[in-house]
Amino acid sequence: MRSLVRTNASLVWFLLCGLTAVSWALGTYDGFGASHHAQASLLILAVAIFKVRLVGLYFMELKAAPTVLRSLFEGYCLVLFGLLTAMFLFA
Amino acid sequence: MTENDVVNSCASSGASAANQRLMAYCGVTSLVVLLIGMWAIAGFVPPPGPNKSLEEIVAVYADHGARIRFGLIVACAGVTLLGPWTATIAIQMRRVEGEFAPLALTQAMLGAVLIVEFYVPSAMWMAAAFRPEVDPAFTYRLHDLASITFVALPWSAALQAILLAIAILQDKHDQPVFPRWLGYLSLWAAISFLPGAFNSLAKTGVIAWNGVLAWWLGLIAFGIWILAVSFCLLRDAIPHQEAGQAQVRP
Amino acid sequence: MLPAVMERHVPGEPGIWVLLFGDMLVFTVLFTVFLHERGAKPELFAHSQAALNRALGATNTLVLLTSSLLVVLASHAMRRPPLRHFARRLTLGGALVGACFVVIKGFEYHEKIAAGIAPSTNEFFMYYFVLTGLHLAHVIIGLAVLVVLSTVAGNSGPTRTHIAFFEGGACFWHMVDFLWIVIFSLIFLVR
Repeated sequence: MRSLVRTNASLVWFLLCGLTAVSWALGTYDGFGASHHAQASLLILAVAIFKVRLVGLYFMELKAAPTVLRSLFEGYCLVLFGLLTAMFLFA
Repeated sequence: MTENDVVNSCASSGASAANQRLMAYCGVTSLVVLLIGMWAIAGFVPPPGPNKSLEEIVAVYADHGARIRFGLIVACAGVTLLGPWTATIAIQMRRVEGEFAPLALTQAMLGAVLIVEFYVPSAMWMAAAFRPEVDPAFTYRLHDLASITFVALPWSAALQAILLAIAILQDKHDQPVFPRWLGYLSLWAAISFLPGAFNSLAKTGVIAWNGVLAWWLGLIAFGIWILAVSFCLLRDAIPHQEAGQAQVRP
Repeated sequence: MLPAVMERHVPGEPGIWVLLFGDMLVFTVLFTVFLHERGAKPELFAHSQAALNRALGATNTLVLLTSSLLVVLASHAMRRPPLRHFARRLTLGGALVGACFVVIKGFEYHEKIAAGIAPSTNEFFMYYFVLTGLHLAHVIIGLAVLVVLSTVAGNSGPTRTHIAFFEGGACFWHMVDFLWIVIFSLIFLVR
């Protein structure tokens, strides 16, 4: 059982939980002031996409997938990040 | 089986495959004619939205009533061709399931329901365009009725797509009748049809009857699904049937 | 005999990625539309966002992450014969934890409606209900998929097709997980 749990996926899970706490703290804190909260929001978005990538690579096991499929997913993460940050800043 | 039986069954199966090919093309044809009628002629893709006022809606019908009625007539004629298309799907699904084919039968029934789901709101829009200024309030509500109905009943089409997906994914033949990706695409289409069901909950935004989710995603997914299924019928399923029957010939 | 180490291996089967990328595309369009609408009324969106329960949202994120981990471990167990008997229980465990999401979401919606907030209240809340509602539908479908996967995992001698089906269903669940990560950040936190 121990050999089952001690995998990269479990480590990634810890990281993801930690990042969730960081995002939550950033998003909940109201004391930044308008311009700084925009920066906090951008950071939250970046962290979110980073988490999406971790889930894809380690939970969906795309790390071991054929290059085409993995590239499609990584490409999606890139596009999503670009789209969300651009729309957030300029919409 | 006598030689006569084999010859007769080959002749009829040849005709069956040819008919099925034509019927497979009916899917794309129905979509094209529907769009010519509803979009190019009637200008109802999407129909005027739920956030428009009574005066605006009555004005649309008063100013454009003729093209609206004519376009919907064309659309109704076109959408009828979903019938033969559905039947061909059912015949090929039956080849997957074998003699007792509950999924194929249900799919065929739901395909028939789909045609009615186009006919009824089309007729209601035609009626709204008939004498719009006699009773403006009624015209306004009739437009609501038709538009909500057109988008609010995707459940039968969704189930139709799901049944096809199940048949495809359960196929255990060495050479499957349909490619497996079509099963997954059908599942995506089914999910994408469903937001329209909720259009009566909003007058603006993505789930209003003219919204991004309810209207556009539904229409796009429907188009993609018809194209993909027709493609697989013509490239895979029907030739696969012919090849199987060619082995029977002496 | 299945290899212990998977090399250049498509998770699930190629076809399921049609469904996954298709769904991801739809949600991406929705996220874009949401941000477009926000751009027109940033103060309304920021002000309305304050009424959301961020603690519940964060909890739900942890719930789905944990559920996903259990499903990943089940996947690993499926592929290693000596550990195979853990797979079914891990999958059901994942489903059980995932079901907590539905309960918490129900409580969250109830809280809103009791406070007089509905999809028709304003644009922000319409997007809140639609995006979280569409995601919730995916969670429920995913839970049904996990239950089916647990029966597949119960097979004493899973074939390659069984394993591919299990991985594919698991990937759907992980997609549901990461879509929530984006939704939580976008709707609950970003302003």
